[in-house]
Amino acid sequence: MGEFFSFLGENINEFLTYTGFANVAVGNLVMIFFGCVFIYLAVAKEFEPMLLIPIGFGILIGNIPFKDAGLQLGIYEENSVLNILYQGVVQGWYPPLIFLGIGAMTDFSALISNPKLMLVGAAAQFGIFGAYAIALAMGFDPSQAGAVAIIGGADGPTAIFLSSKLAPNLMGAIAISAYSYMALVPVIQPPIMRLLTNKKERLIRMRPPRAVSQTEKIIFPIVGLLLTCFLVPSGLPLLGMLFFGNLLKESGVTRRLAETARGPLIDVITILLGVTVGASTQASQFLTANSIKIFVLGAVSFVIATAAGVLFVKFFNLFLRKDNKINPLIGNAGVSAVPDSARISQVLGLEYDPSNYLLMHAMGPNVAGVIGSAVAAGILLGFLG
Amino acid sequence: MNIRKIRVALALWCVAMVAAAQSPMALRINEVLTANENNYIDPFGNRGAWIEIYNSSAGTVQMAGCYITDDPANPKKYMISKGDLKTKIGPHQVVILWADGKAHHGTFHTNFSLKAGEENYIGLYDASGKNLIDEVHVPALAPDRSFGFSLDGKGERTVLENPTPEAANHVENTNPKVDKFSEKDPFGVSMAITAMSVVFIALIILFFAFKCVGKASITMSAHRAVKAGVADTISAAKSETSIPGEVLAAISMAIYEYQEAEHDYEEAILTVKQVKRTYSPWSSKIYGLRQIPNKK
Repeated sequence: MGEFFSFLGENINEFLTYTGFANVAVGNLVMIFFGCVFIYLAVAKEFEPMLLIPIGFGILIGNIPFKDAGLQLGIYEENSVLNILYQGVVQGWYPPLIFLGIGAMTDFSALISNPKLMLVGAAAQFGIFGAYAIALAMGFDPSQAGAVAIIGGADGPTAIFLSSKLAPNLMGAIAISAYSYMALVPVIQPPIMRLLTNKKERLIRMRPPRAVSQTEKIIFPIVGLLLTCFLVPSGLPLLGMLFFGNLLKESGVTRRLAETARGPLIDVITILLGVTVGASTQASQFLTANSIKIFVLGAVSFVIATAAGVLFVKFFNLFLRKDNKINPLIGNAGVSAVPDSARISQVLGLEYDPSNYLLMHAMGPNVAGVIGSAVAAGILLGFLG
Repeated sequence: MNIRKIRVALALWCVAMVAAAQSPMALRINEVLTANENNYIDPFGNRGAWIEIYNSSAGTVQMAGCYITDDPANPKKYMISKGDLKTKIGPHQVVILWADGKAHHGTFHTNFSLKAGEENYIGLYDASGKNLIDEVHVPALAPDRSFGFSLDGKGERTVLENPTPEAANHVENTNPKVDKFSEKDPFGVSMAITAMSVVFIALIILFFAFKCVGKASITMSAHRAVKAGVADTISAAKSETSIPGEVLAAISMAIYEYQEAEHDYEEAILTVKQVKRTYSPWSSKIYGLRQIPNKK
């Protein structure tokens, strides 16, 4: 009998060594706290809930401590379920699929009707290269600096795609940083926009966009793909899928495919991407000095991108006719956080003139920013890959 | 040509493109060693001449069924066996064939041997035995010297002082692109200027392209309007076709409201009427229960 109880005790002790309580580290608790903060921000503040809920919950999943007993549980253990799902991030095939969905849901009419807004989208990419220079000064090597700097493009899939190629070890921190700052766009951008504009500029009324024919909408993805990818072939995975998705939408004859791309497909990939990126932030891999630097750089790059967009519009206005000026409040939308940054232009515009609707105008640089950041990612990949 | 023929041609072209991307035509005779005195030993413990085949493509290539020969007059001298899994060569990977005349040792041992200290010919043919994939005239080599590409599968072949069987001929321990940027652009200024220029050029090209497309579209719409008799002149039609979307939306809304306002007949009648019903099949639990089987 005594032997039986001793065996039972040993079993219970053995079991206890497998529990999370026995294996917990301070880092796990810190990360679990951050995961809960993400979920709180998503639920209570509605900051990018589609992203922050999967990522926040993924952080919880990734930071449940367990004994390393070869049970194939963790995301970094080969052939575990999470590891298999994570391959879409590591190999970089989730981001192009997300871009397919983005293409299928994006209306490029604002950009086609007023193509000069493309230049605003280009100017906002200064955020990427400003952050690149600062990252080099902070001691990152060029390929790591390139991967970190892409946060300034404010495009989560692009950031994940590039970091998976240039600096896979920093991907978790880069993805979390990119999505966090995208969620915080309503907090980061308005003060910069107010600081860099005066009242007269904020009241500029832009000419309403003209109606765009369907032929133009069909031509756009084809010409867009050919021109951008011939110039930067390394942007092909992202730009190819973006423009393909858009052609599905605009062709008018592939409605079912377009609906799948912008509905079930992008939803499935968003869930898998969010939860696996969140789970990749295991405290042992994530809580490093580099992660803190990446978060600092992310904030800096967003500030530079916003400022560059607004200042570029002011500069551009010097060359435009009086009746054709651009409201600098849409300059911030050059970062490709679609459609949040365009929505901020609208909200701020209405704050100063309740009848000045800037949303449609801001969507132009906003979608140009998506193209611009994909081109910038292609350049960085070409130079540093 | 009818549409069906065009479709078939397109389908065939697509299949041909996919097939070409992973065809044996990407194989290269990468390195050859004819006089093996102190070099690589085969799995049987022998030192023999060897031929290294390199896959120069980014996809896996199956070399089973291909022929290798040392005689230009006999392209089908040795067929690489179809039954061996190792005949699949990964992207930019190599496989060694032992040219030792001992085909009974398995797939990777040819039925001919290369002559040490003399010139040799090696030809690699596809599965038909008619299409030459690659050939090399190997000069007389000193012992333990090989002849091949200094950069795998590229450029001119040369005598290699240090043979590298089953390994890349050119080894890179660093990333030259990154090193170049580290050395010449420590502050990222050059990268910023170059990359921003490219981003701007890409979007400026798009800007000009769509400015032209927009103008052409407005002109074409104007011509159509004139043809349809909606407008008298091109300029009048142009001003009509460039009506902003907001104005069109407002006009459409006004027309819709006007039409909806004049109703002679209503399609449905909505009323608020209290109905007292104690029993409803929707709330009945009997339908949710499994029926008791009938006894017969």
